Amino acid sequence: MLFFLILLSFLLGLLSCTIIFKKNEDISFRFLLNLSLPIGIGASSVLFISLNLFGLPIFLIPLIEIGIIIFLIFKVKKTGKQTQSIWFKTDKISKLKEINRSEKLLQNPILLLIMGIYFYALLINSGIFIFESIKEPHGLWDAFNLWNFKAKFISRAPYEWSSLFHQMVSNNLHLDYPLLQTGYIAYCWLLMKNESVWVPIVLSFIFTFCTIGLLASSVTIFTNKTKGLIAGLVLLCTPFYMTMGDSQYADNTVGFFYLATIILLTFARSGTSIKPHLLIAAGITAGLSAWSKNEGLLFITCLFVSQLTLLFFKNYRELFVELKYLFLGMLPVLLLIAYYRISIAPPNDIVHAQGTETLIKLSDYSRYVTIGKWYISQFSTFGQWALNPWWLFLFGIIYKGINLKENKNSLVSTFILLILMLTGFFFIYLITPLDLVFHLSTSIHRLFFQLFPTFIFIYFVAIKGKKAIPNKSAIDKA
Amino acid sequence: MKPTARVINIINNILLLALLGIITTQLYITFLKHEEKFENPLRFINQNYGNDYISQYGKRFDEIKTMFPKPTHLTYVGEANESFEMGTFHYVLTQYFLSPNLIFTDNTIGDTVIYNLYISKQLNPATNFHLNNGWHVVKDFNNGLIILTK
Repeated sequence: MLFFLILLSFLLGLLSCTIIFKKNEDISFRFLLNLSLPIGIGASSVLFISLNLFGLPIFLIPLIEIGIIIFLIFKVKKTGKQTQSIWFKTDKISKLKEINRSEKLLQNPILLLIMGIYFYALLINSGIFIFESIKEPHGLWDAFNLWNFKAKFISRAPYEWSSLFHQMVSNNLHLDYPLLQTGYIAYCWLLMKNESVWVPIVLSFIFTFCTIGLLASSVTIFTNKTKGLIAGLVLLCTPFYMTMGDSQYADNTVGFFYLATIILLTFARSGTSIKPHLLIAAGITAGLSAWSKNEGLLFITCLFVSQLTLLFFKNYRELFVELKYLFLGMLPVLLLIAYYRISIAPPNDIVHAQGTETLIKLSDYSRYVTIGKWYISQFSTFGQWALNPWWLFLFGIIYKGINLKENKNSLVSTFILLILMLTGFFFIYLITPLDLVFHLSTSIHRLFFQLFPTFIFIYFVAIKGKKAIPNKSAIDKA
Repeated sequence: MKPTARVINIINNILLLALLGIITTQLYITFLKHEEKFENPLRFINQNYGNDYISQYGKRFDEIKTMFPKPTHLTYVGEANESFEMGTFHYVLTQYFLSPNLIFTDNTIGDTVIYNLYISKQLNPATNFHLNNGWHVVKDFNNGLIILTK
């Protein structure tokens, strides 16, 4: 049953992404797979919670999903067979290119070595993920305290949970946190009629490994295979990234949607014309980030502010049209979040605790120093690497320089976005009602990790190097 | 190839190999930490599957769950001298296993009280607040979980 439900979500995501990327021959099936599965899961979660709040019987929800999938199949048929055959590598040109690629690969020992390390790392880390999940099947603190706890609540009282949530008062349970992970787990548990611990484990596995796959495949598309594999390897071999995955925390989930938004925006800005479907898709993934964790709302705010910097490079009318599509994409999810926060969830503990003390905290110099020190300390300890690789990253920028010829708009706005997010986190720490050191020690590394895949993406796309130019003339001839 | 291009090429390769060196070292260290599990995965699974602390803790609640077929308001009481961290941990686990019942730590809310005495296991009738103020034991599950009502 779990396999069937994941398959439904996958088809939902895959068909939607197929429509979004119509006639874009540069993308690979690996890229589509890694992008569409988590998007499908996010869409299923939104669909389940929305329809459940309308009081629809649970058994009808997968039937509605199947209905949407059939509708999307008809839509996909209109995008043309040629594009799909290129993605799935069934046409003659793609087969020739694939043979050519394999021959080139055999001639490049370094690339071969990197590929070997990549697949070995993938195997080792998948094994570790499974071992750790068997050892701690309920996940760590946040998993059973926040996400899986609420999933149990929803699955055991599917028609009463919204009124019961409203009556709960404990600050420890953070009922205002959004429901992407929770909703999907509850949806599977309800239809399986079994609270299997494997549902949250599989969900975390998907988000953890799809982020790596999406990062590697997208960097490959925008630069070359070597850079793509190294980008994936950096994330894959960062010890704490795997720990967050098998702990079933939602930081990898929200990190995936940040990355997907930035990649979709980079695609949308890779040509001269406005691409509404890609901008709407970026809006959807940004909305899903806010449906994953509260930090997603900060991401959306920073996303819009960061786009305003493009007024220096773009026509303002064109930019506002782009922002309109972006907003349209996230609107349905934002409406659901607004309804959940206004009608169901108790107020957020950080927001609720603000008052006259906020000004005192803002004017307390020592708080700035403490947070600043924690920010700086992350450079040496981030990711729990045995040998710190971040000096090499810094050296890489100084030595190789940054290439802003291609994807300038996306790279500049994403860089500003990351700075704004870090500033936003700084501000949240300044006004937190919790003990500052306790709050920093329990969350700063996770917040930085949410941005980590996006950072690696823009680093490898921005740094100068050889670009793999797709053989467009061959495709045109075909 | 020009000499400058050759030098650039060498530096590029050194950078790449340095990064690959760090990555493979890290991969090896990570592998070493889990070597035993990879050597005998079946033994590891047999030893650990279902034996984690939270799964074992949850077994204490199997019987109590059947007492509340519909969501009920329960007042939670933990150990008398527990630390804030331990108190929160056990409260959260109680709420986790007994949801969708609503469990409050505020004494004033409900008539039904759940005691989670994970260390002492028994109530002291002489000193217990609830027993001396009109509550009586509905069921003692003999594992530290006790339900009282007025």
